[in-house]
Amino acid sequence: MRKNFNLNFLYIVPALLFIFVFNLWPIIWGVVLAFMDFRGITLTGKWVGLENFKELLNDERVWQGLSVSVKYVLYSYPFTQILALISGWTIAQLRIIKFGKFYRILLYLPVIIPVSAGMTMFRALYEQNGYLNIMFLKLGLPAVGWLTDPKVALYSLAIASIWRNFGASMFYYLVGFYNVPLEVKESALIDGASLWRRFWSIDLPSIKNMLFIIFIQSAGALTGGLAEVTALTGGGPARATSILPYYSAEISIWGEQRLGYAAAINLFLSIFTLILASMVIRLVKVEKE
Amino acid sequence: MIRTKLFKRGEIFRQQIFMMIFLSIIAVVTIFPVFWTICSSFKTIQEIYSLNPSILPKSLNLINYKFLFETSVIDYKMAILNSIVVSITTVVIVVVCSALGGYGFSRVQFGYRDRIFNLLIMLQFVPLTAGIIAQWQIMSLLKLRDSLIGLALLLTAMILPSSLMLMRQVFLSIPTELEDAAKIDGASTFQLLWHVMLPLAGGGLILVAVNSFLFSWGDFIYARTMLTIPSKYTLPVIITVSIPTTPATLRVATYGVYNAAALITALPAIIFFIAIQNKFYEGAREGLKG
Repeated sequence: MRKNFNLNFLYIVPALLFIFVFNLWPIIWGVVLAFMDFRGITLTGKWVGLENFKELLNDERVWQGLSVSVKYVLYSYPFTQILALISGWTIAQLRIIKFGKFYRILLYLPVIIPVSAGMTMFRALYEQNGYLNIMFLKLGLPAVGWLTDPKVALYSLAIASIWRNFGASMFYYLVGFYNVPLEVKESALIDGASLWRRFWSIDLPSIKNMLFIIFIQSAGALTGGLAEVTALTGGGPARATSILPYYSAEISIWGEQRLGYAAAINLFLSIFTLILASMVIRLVKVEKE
Repeated sequence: MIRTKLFKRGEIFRQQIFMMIFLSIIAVVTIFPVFWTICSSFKTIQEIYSLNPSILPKSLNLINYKFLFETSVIDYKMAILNSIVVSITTVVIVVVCSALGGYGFSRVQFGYRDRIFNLLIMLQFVPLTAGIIAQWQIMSLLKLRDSLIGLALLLTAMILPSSLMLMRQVFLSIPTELEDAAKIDGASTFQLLWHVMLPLAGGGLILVAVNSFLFSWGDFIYARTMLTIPSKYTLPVIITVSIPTTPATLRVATYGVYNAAALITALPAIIFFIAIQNKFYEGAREGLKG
């Protein structure tokens, strides 16, 4: 019996080995790293206690990065979710299954397209003499420096980010709406409930739990966007799109290799996100009552 | 009675048409950047920078693709090869590990099994930024940075938790009767997996394979951080670093070339996704129900 126990454990060993070395351990080590001074690729770092955190609280760029991150989420997340919710619901209402399939493939494509390819597409549209500006000129509007004007770049980034991400959320809404029990849907149809009422008082309440998760995740969105920023703007112009995760990568991996300090910034962001998430949870709970 | 029914049917018909128009508008806007990219990749430099551009190219001009593969100093061919190496390695390891692991988490018993599984579920909610600095350091120390196989191992570890969950679900949905019959015949647990379970889990394995392919082929941020030597760049990395920040007039290549490169990057992902998209939704529907 004992031998059997050991053998059974072996099935998960290969998977666990990979996950431990490259996924779980880095997360744990990342927390330790935040309290150390590590520069470059050495085995030895110095324990510095809370020094990194003291430094980051006085680092102007950390606060600037945090404010860019918050703005980035405010500009993109609500619109991503509203677009996802409306399009997911509408697809679920289509009677002809084939059409529903067709639309859900098309709207999911931006999620499937590798992020750097998608952002390259937007870079072409956003160019100084790219298609968007030519359309603007034709309409008699002045050309916009989509990626060169610090006042505009964050909006351009948000648009590209909405384009890339709304399909993923739509997928969850769509699955949720598909799972609304058939009896409920049919009884509403027989009652002759209007489209709006069906949405508001039947379908939306039935995915209530999913909506709570979406609200809570809005805080988690703060830690996202690194790939989009790196591929589309590189943090520029004039740091206007330098979200906090980008700043931390900039001073460690792509720059001065201040690993400890960067890890501290990421830990700071994670804690900030957790506090925000718990506030959102409390808010949602109050709403619920 | 009949009249009201007819009236209702007409209204439903109108609603459906209205919804399709609405969805079509969203779809057109969503697809436009992709469509524009496809068109631009076939345009000459004069067409691209003309002040009166037409959306469709004048002819299927392959000049941008020729530049990409023949003239360009940036080695796109090498990048394609690198991407293939990374994706295939990742897919193979993920499929093997998640078939074994999914079976381990669903059909056999051992201590702490469910606790370990709960940990894996939690891992998926940890943001990428929490681990990336330490990952970079660990990869450096293991001499796996700048190595394609090393990148594949890292990507494997990142996609494995969700793949394990999926395979576990697949194995749990297989009825136990078959297994019991084989057990009575004295089959070992591994024989059960190999002869009974795996043939029935084919659909799930395909889903895991395509998922991990989409993840590794499209991965940008890990490749961008772990690979520093240009000859090791994968396709998603090379298409962003090759776009110079110099003004368009000073460039050797137009954005038609970059669009062609973006298209080559996107195409395999799109094809694989469309091939399995039905399974994709059904799998999620079942998974979210439970």
